[in-house]
Amino acid sequence: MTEILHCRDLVKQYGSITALKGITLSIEPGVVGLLGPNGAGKSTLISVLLGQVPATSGRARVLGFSIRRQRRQIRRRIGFVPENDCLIPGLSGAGYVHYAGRLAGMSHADAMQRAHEVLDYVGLGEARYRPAEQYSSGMKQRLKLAQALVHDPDVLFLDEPTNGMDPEGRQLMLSLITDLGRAGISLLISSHLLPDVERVCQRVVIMGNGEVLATGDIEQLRRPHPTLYTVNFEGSGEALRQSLAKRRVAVQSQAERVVTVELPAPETQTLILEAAREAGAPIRGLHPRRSSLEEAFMAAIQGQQNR
Amino acid sequence: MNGSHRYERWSGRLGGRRWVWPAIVRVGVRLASKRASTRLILLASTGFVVASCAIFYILSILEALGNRPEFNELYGVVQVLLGVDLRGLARMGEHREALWRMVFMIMLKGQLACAMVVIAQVGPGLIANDLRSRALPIYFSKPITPLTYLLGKWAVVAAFIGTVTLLPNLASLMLGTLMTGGLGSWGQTLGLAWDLVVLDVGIMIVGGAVILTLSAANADRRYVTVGWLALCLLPMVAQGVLDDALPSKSTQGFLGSVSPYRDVTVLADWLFDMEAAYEGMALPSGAAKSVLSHSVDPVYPAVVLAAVTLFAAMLCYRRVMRMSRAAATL
Amino acid sequence: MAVIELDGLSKWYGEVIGLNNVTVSVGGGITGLVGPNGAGKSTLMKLATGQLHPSAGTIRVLGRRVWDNPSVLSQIGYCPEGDVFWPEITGRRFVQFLARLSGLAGAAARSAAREAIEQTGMTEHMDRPIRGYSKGMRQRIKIAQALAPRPRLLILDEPLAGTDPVARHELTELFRRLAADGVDILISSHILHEVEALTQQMLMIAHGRIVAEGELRTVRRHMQGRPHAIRVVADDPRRLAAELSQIESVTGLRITEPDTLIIETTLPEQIYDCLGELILHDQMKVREIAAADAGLEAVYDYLTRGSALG
Repeated sequence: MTEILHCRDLVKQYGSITALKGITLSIEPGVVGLLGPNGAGKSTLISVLLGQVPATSGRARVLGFSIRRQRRQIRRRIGFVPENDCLIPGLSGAGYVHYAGRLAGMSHADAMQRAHEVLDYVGLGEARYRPAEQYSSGMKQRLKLAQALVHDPDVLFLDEPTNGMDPEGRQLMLSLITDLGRAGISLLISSHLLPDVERVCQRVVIMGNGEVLATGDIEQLRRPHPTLYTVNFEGSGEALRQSLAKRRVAVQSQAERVVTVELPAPETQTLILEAAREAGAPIRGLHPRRSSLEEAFMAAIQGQQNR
Repeated sequence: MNGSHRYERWSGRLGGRRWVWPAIVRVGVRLASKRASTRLILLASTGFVVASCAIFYILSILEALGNRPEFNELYGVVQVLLGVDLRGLARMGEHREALWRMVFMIMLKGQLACAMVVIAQVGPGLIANDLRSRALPIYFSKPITPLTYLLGKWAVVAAFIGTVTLLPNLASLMLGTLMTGGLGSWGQTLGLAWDLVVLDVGIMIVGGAVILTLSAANADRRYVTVGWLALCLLPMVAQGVLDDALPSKSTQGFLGSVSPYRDVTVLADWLFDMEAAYEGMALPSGAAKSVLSHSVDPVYPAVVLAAVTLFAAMLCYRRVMRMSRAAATL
Repeated sequence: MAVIELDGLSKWYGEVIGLNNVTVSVGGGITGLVGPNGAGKSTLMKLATGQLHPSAGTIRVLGRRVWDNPSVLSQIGYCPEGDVFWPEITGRRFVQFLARLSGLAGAAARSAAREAIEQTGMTEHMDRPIRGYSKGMRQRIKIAQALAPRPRLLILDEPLAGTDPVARHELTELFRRLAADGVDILISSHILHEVEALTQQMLMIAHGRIVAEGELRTVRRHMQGRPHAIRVVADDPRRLAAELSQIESVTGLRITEPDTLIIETTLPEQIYDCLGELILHDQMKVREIAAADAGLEAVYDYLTRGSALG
């Protein structure tokens, strides 16, 4: 499997500020999340990989092309969905996507056909003929996605794709991203919204202060804990506590109608149900503890701060 | 509302660089033509064609008439009344080319004014709007070079300049030739056409380079418009002051080339060889001076304009290079 | 005691309706205001902070009229949406100035500003011009100016938009602390899971109307015509499904993964109890039992979509 992205000791300095401190990273095809606090260097990394900003030192290859010498080849095969509006005032949605296709090197006819195909895909119907400045924020995001897809890239870079969208718009955007992933396009998504990243990404790269702090599989992170459980119940917490204790289920913490417990051994969830029946506290929910991306993220950042 | 089907990949080919800048031109021209005042000026520039052709036609009539002795008395009367030697003019059949060149020179002054206005309308937004609406990441995440971008943008403003200068000039030449039989030989006509092309393309290059640099300097196109008008008009004022204040010997060099208007007209005179033309017509020296612009050695304006253009082009290119690099973080 | 009371409140802009005949009472503590774009959230907040005058009806905040009433306004801290700055001044000056506008005098304003800036973690950057701030920093300085006059009521319009997870975590903790100290907060956000983590008191709005108010659980329970969905992850979901299919209140059973069963029912409590019995009786291996659509996201989805269909 060829990797889509490979960097080696990539450094970027702006005067006295070192935005990237020697990034060494290798990314396989798939949907990857790029996380990090503000100032971690995510945007700088993307700009360097896109060839928009020259690296101070180090090497990197995108889809096998060198970022120093083969920038145009890279840009032919990748699409970029920027964070800001980036519209061209005066153009309609269709005109804008068509223009993007022409800029990517498509012929007039190809760009026209493909623009409308892609606008269908992102769900901009009649609205495509209206001036793009009048679009709602959700529509603008989808328009930007359309212009990034018009030349059928192999890799998409997305900078905060669900920023500022209402829940419905976000759902739509995330389902588009999932579908693109399934179609074989690799996506690198930089986002602050961890649940969104959890939903669509297969792997994450966590950056902080110009360095890569951690990389990992989402699946790994979200594996259910074998013995730690959260239980929602109705009724007497005290009685439940005692019944649990009788069965050697340790109670970790308790709040109103919720208790977290540790089972004596894996696959002994029935102990909880027995205890609940005995205590007359009917169960309303049973969840194994899962690491969240948020925890892994915080841990990584803390780890760097403690260094 | 929801896109229901799955993503489909595309199996076409991406062309080479040569396809891209026409797209930039097309979109730029389309957006700039939306303004009613721009369309008005373009329409008004047909006035140059009408005026030139009318003059050519009148001249040809005068020539034809002048060879008839019946009108000698009429000419005498006109000479006394208006001080114009119509007989002399009528004899100028052999100087038709020189006369036509003179007409174009007169039109040039109006066209420069039109060009200044058109540039002020079309030029400032070209790059400034992209800066303001932060459209640059879209451009520079595509496989285009900063040169392509600049060339496309320049071509937009050049197209508009050409529509008020080159297009009317060539149309006048063509229509005039059709109406009056032309300059007599192909060589003369083509020579005149070539000189017009060189002059007008020169204006497009200089004007385009300067306005693009200004447009790339600031994201607010209103400031750019003011800057452009200031750059055109203030030097003219300054030149006027210098002309009055300094003895005429000093204003034949660089000090006489401060105003861009003067620079262009002096170079046009030189290009069109107007001095020789006037001599050939043996016009009284006063008349020649009044039509011919201030006597500046054409080398100086050439140097000034070339330097300004090169400087502007360099600045512009560097600025766009920097913008393309900082695009993602804008 | 109601913190914000709306009675028959309507606001229109020319032909465009902002809020339509809204009567609702927002209580103490933290209340989440959620709804699609254009639903009327910002309109409601602007009405509550005296920036807009109602077209019809009344609004009372902290028991009093808000329009043109500085004594009430000085007790409300407002964090608006979007970029609302003078880019040249420093963060500290910005907060100080706005604190003084709220009625604090010189030295008091300065110390209040300092404290608010510290609470939002902006002490390091407070003497730099706002022009150089990142989006997250701007959000935080906005929140600081809302906090400086130590208001009784905080009205926050999308306060966490654009902040990174670290800042978001810190700010959420800050809001919790403030609420524990007795400050009432009305917070609008598109990031539903964060609102849900902060509070269970919701106000849901769509097309200028309130579609739900109150505690999330109660809202869900009272949603007629929407069977509840319960997700069970077990070794043998089919066996479980077979047993449950006998029960009358079960309106649907779906196997979505090899180990996951979704049960649709009109009486969720009954099903939970049955599940417990069944599992114990048959000694089945079950790893998870959870309400699949009682979360804010699902409820929001149902209510705002339904609302669109009238």
